[in-house]
Amino acid sequence: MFIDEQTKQHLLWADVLRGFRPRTPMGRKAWERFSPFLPGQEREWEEVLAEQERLRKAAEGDPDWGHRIDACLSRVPDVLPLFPLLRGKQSPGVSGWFQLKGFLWQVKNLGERLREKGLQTLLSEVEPDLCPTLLRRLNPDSPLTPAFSLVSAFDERLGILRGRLERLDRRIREEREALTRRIAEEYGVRPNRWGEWVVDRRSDVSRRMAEDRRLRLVRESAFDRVFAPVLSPEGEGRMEERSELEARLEAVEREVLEALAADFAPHVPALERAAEAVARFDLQWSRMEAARKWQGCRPRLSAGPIRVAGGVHPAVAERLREEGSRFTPVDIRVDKGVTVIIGPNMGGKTMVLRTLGLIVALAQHGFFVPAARCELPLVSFVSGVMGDGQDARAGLSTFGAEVKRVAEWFGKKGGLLLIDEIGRGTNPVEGAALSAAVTAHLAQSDHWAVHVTHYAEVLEVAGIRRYRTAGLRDAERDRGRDDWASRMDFRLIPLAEGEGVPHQALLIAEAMGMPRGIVEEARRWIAGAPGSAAAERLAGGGRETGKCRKRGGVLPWRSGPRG
Amino acid sequence: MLPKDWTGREMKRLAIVGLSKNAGKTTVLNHLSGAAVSRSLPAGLVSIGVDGEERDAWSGRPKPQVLVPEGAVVATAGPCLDVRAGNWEVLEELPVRSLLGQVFLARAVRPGTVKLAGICSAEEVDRVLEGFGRHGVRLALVDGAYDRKAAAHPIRSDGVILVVGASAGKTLEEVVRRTEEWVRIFSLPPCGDPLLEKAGKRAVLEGWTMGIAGEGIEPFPLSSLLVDRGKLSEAMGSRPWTALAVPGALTDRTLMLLAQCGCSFPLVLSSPTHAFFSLRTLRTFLRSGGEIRYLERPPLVGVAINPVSPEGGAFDPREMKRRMARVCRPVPVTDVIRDGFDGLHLMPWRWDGVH
Repeated sequence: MFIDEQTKQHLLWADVLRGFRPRTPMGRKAWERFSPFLPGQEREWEEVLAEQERLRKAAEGDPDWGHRIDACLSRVPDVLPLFPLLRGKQSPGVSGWFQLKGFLWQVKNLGERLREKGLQTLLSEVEPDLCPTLLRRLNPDSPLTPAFSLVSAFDERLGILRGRLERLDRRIREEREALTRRIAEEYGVRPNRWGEWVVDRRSDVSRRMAEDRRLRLVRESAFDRVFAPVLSPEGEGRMEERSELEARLEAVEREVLEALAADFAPHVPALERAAEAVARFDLQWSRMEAARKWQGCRPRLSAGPIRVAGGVHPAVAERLREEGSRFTPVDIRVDKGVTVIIGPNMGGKTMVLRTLGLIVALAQHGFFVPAARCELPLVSFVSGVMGDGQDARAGLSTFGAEVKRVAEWFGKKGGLLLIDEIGRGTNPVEGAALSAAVTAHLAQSDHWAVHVTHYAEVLEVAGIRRYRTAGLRDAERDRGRDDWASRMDFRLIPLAEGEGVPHQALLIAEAMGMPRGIVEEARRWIAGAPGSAAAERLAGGGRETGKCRKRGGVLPWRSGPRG
Repeated sequence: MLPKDWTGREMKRLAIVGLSKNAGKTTVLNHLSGAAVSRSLPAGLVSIGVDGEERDAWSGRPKPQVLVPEGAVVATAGPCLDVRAGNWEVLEELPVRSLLGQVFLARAVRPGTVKLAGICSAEEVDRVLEGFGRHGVRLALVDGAYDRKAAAHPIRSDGVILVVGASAGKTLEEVVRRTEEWVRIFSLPPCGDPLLEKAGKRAVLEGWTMGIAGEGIEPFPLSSLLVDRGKLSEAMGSRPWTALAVPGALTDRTLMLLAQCGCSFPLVLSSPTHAFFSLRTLRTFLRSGGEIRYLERPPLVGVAINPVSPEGGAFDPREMKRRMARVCRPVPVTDVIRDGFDGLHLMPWRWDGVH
């Protein structure tokens, strides 16, 4: 699996794709079974992106043209259920034939629209003669229309039978009208809309009508009698003839539809290819439209690192916009091995993971990505250990759930791993050791791992790339201000040589309203902790600039080369 | 020329609503569609809920078929059109699903009958009506299912015809009483005041009862009026309210409580579909000085009566019409089977043969 449900949730995948909706039924079905582009499919991936680039250029240069394409796609009916019927030479109903005609009509229109912009190759799988030929078979009279009916041009017998039926109906109607008029005049009673007389059963007219052989009693109630005219024997004969004609007409109509089905059966493979082509184009168009909303850029293929400049998480950015804030774009380079991000709480570390994971996942699903620039190799999967991964049914704690998930990665190859503070769910000493050990192993692996942590020990691992989030600005001057968010700098900055884990938790706690006495007490605790020269600096609110403070002896991975 | 109601208003969309099941709506629909075609008015037929079935969904009794004159456009499910494939020109597939399948618009190329698959939501009815417009329909006939007043929503109709059948009660007195109640409650006046209208719209938009105090519109302290008398009384006394706009349904109990709490000012409901109180309670409320107005309400253009019940039994047609006319006045009453629509002045009678 390229991306599991848990990771999708962490990346807010559904929120981002809420605006992505293929227009056609076949496009929606294709998206449900769509698999992202994986290593080895670089050529196909680049083709999809190049096509979208051409489409986007055309749509942005001529918005009306874009609306016409949208309208064509939105009107494509669901013809997939008709194909098995036609393959078996069974006729769909009249509504099914209408849908098939509508499909051919819209594919023809779509082809014409694409030709206007020299983009006809995007529907090249559709046989050039398919639509005109089949449309003419469904519309044997002129001119072509998108409506469908069993016109007499399908079979000359239809015209003959319908003509006879019409003439017969006219004669029956004339006879009834004449009889009705005569009776109405004789009795001085007007018939109702259905040519019946409703008369008071106690009236003299009722008695006389009951005795009139030209009338028959249709029904009666306690108050009324309802009479209808009786046709002459010739008239009755015409009624019988009419029933026979109706039956023959129905039989011919059935024959016509069956012949049409037999005629269409050999074209089913071509129709299926056309439906696939429409689905593919629809996905391209819908991806392009979705990416236009987040002003996406075309991702480029990279030989090794994942590089993102100006990366944005559209769903979070939207939420921040509503709150009057703005998203700080992410600039990051992730090489094979491990990239570690450190920084204060609420400094934006997790958001970096989310944004990066989302951009890679979108890219591999063929989308332009929400970034100013992006290059990446195709990875085998995207997986994250982020937030609380407790699985209540499996009875796992946060820590257990994380460990189980991380352990699974070691059996795989070439994925993007997003790790949010592994080991935080257990005691700090073991947690730090495990966090550093996992980092050390991943550093030697085939994965692109990004690890967000507070453990200074992780920075000791050899061969890793390091970043920090900028954190609180001008901490001393603004101390005590309530508006901590405006003081926070969410930018990601490469970590300078020798720079350690920043300590701003107490400052942030204070900014967020923790009583000053408690914060001061915490500072005193740090100051009083054994062997901590750095603690003195911490108590003053600064950043630890020396080597990281170690909790134990020399760690085995410390001696390796520094990245 | 479009049909006009008895006040002279032109109607493009007519809704047919039944007071009870087996009232005779389909007969009225058939009469109207035939009359529309005879006046060269292309008709559109759509049904809300389950209708056009061979048997009544509730009683299981045989129902009259929906007759479709040549040239009329129907909105129904594909399988209903497939029954007589040659009778139809299929015009459009709508983004609407009925219980019987996807809904299509089709024009009858020959007269015949059809099962009208019911459209379930008001939004879907809107889509059908828009579709009718695209295909030249001049008079849309919306057949509302039993006990559903959705078709009476003003956005969907310019007028409503109430169909009252003998099946609405065991005695003529009961039928007349029920009709009077329906007509009186349905015919309560529209807002008629910009401030009331504004409060009504805001209540619907926010889904919260709004009150008018002075010139200002403010949220009422209670989200729902379905509370005990003490709380309602407290909320009523919280401000010098001069009107309340209620977004949802107003029940008998709530209306009575409001009367008891001294509500002697206008209440605005969004439409008659939200009025769930009896005439007796309404009378008490009105006597206490209150008023009820609707944000939107289509006019009741006529009452069609059917003195014969398909379940057996019948009322004296003349007596029924006379008594109904008295309680419905000034809304005209007609007996479609006996009189056509003459009495409603909707479709001047013209004998034009067998349909």
